[in-house]
Amino acid sequence: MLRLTSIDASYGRVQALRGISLHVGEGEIVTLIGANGAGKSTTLEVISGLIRAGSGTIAFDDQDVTSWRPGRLVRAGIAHVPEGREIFGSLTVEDNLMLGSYSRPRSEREQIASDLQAQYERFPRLHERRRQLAGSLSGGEQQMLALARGLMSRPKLLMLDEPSLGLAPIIAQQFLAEVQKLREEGLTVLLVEQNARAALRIADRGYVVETGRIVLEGTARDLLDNPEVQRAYLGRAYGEIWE
Amino acid sequence: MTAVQVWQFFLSGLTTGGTYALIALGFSLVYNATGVINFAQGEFVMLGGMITATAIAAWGLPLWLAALIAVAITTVVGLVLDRAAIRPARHSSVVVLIIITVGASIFIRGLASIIWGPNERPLPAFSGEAPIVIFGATITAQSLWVLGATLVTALIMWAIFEYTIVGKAMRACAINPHAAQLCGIELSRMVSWSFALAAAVGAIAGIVLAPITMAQYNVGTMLGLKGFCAAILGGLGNGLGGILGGLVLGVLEALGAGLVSSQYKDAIAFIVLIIVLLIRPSGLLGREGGDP
Repeated sequence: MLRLTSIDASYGRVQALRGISLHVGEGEIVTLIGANGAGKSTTLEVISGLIRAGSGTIAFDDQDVTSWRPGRLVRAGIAHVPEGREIFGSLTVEDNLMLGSYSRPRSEREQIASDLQAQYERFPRLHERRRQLAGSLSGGEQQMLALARGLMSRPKLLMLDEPSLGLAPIIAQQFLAEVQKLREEGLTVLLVEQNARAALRIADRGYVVETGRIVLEGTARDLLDNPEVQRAYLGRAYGEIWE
Repeated sequence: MTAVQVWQFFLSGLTTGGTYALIALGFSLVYNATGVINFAQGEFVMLGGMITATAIAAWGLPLWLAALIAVAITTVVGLVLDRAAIRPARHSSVVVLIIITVGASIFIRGLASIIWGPNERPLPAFSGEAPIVIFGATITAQSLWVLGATLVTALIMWAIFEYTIVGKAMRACAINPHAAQLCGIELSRMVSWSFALAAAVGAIAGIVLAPITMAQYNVGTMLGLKGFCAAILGGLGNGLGGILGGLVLGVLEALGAGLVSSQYKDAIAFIVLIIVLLIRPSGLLGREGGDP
């Protein structure tokens, strides 16, 4: 469904990605794990067109989308829920959701209205607070809103950047369970998560990103069992591994 | 100095203030979309008045049609300004873009002086010259047109931003351009919208003001600066603040000119500007940050 081939990208003079190649198959949950600043978020930003790739190609649904602009990519079916939620705080919850459907044509008005109801059923809290300003929601509710806003564009591929950042562990767990449910409904997910263990538990496959490169890839099971991954990202002490 | 005189100054101040309010609204529209102070805003006002006056005097059109044409042409000028001058430089810093608008303002004024020459263009009052007496003070019917146009335009703008998806998308861009793009909102299109609306609002101000002050190729400079002062006074980027700032500034000017000396009329706006920047840089209704 999505395939990146030797993507380079930079912020000004700082090269952030060096030859990233990865793919996400239809119906998969794929996760990118790695330290802060490794290039995970940049990878998502390149895919959603916010940053231009310096070289390399991006293919989505058998089309070369490398030079597409963000709006066109949203219409093609890529939703990117950014790190830190980035909801529109001084607009209402419902306005935020409606803006999520901004890229869809007017002719889908009825469909959009029923999708809005579907999001309210999925997240009843958002329905309760639909007339409130989005900025007044709690962190967990804001993350729900950011996800629901992304879903309002009817994506095929959902990209989540650090969704559990700043959430209480129980809320983060509920959120990831919701992501699993979305996959069962047919959505493909590319998940960036600082909580590597939680991400690998729900993912099918994973990539390990270090200083702008992919250093390791494999099934989630293999990565969870990999001693290097355990040492660097799953918080196991050296001692445990050698014992 | 009698109370009736003060009341008189207050009413005439409200009239000028209404125009400042509309100009301030134009500044806020572009500022929210781009972070740029569009110093060509005053030229939109000039164009509104000049085109209407020409359309009536030279082409013999009725007022409503002339006004419509003036708003349409000015809106196109606003769009061209965006496409030809702002968009090619959109990756430059805000300061560069502001200087571009200063250049565009000089360019439009120069073009206007070539097209229309240096003479003032009179525009007849919309509904006669008969004065209206309100509690002892007299105002012209045209003053009511100015205040009415301000009110109606402000209401339309409010409705656009509160109830239409495009208006909300423009607000979303001002709040968080990054997230707006991820919703599929094209920033460049929103910037075009903001220039178009700002130009239309400016033209409306110019049209209703022209019968009072006469239209001339160079009226845009001072009106633009006054509108800018009003926008700062009300809180840059805050629509309601701009309206309030315009009205307050107009009244202060009229009172200052009447009670102190009419020599200082133009200076008052700038004294207000300096005081606001020193004491409350975010303006009367402004908050920290650019959120509308």
